[in-house]
Amino acid sequence: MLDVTIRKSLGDFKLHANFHADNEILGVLGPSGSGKSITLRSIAGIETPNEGRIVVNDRVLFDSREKVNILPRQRNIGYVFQNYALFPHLTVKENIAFGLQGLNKRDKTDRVQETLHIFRLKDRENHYPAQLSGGQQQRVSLARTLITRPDLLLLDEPFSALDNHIKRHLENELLEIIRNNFTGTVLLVTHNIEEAHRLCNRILVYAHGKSVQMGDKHEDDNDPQKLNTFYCQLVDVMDGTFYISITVNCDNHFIHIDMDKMKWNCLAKNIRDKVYLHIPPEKIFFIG
Amino acid sequence: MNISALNLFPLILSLKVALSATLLSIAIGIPMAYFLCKSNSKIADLADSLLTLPIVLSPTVLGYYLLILLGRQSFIGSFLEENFNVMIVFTPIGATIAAMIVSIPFMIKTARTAFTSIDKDLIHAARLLGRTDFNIFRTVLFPLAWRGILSGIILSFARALGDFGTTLMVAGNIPNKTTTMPLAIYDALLAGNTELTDMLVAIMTIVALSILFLLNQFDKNILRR
Repeated sequence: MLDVTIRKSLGDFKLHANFHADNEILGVLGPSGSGKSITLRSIAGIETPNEGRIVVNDRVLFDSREKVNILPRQRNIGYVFQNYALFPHLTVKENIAFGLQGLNKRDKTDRVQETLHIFRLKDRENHYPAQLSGGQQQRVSLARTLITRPDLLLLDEPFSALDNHIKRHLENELLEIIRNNFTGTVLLVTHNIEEAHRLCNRILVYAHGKSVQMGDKHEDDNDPQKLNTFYCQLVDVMDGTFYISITVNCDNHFIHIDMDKMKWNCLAKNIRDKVYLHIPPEKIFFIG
Repeated sequence: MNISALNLFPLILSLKVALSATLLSIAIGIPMAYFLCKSNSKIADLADSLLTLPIVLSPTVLGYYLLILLGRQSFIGSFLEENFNVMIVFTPIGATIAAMIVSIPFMIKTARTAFTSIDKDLIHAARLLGRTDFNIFRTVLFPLAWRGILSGIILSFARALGDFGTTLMVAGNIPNKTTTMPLAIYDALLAGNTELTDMLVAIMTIVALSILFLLNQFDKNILRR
């Protein structure tokens, strides 16, 4: 269970997040710079919101009114960083044991061995992070945090550091490990809508610093307008006109989309008459 | 003077002074570098500029400031003399302090760079895994920064060993009391003793080359990491 109501200003940027999550995998979706990471960092205590309240399993971690701000090390939150943040000078075994404290040596060894087994890292226990593949690094990072039995699991773009062709395979693997070993709330941050749909029970969408919608993942499927305005990112502005051209291979038919008919919701400043948009193919979705 | 009568006092004093100054630099410089890299405040920037000053300031000017600050007439100087019978000016202690002041910026600069180059997420991860800041310093920051710190130590030692101007201003040049190697070389040259000058210069050169060699070894290791 997780309840978040926070506001935070960073220069011109204003974050306003307001959501609730049960013991499920909640996808946090939005383009970069929309405030997803700051939300995650605020929950973990790495960033301090200006105001608001964060509650995990009935335990208040942050409350600006009651002046509660629990230290990160006492929050008992599992965090898998985008680049995994493995300690480069420690072996796989030492990395995994890092968060185990207050146990005697025997129990510690047992727990580490058990975890190495679950995460299929037994044969890599004495390797250093630099000697591992991306998928293995991801497993070490997840193992390192799940061994401490956290109340909440935060995954910050867990697949962005991996090659495209192994992503799918690792998604299933990660999902299975989490389902078998963790029963609490999982927040998965991503900017990839497909990934969010495949992995999450529900999706929270971020735009311009606000958590704008929340609901069953099928709900936002039926709202193409929102998806289009949301996922087409402005990349460059060239002497004054909207230059948009998308050609997509759909069932071996090349479809050309006439951009006049689409509504563009651009919040970029100083746009005159001409704008050049680049839309990568994986950001285009067809609905219906 | 022939070589068998070579007075080793300056070499030993120089090594002692440089070693003590380096140890002081480590004890003061590493915690300072750590706090400087943790804080982004204006005060940290100001402190950083102040600590860089000994690098850009003329050694004699620096020595003069130290004289004013630590001399017998000064608050600190008179306090130490009255209460502990300790004199700083014209003593090896003065030479050590002078050597420390000129060498500590190198320690702080290199250690700070080593600390700041560590991925902040590693520190965040360690915190979220329940470790205290001191524990993180010991188990994550120091092991990852130690090569950088080591090159800082070597640079400080080299600078402390070679100091001439600041040491002369603060500790003077009293034979068999405060005459360090650089001062002894100057004296030997002034006395027209070419043989002794060559000898002393050779010793200093060998020491400097050894330091440079060590430093290169560490740099190579850092690049390889």
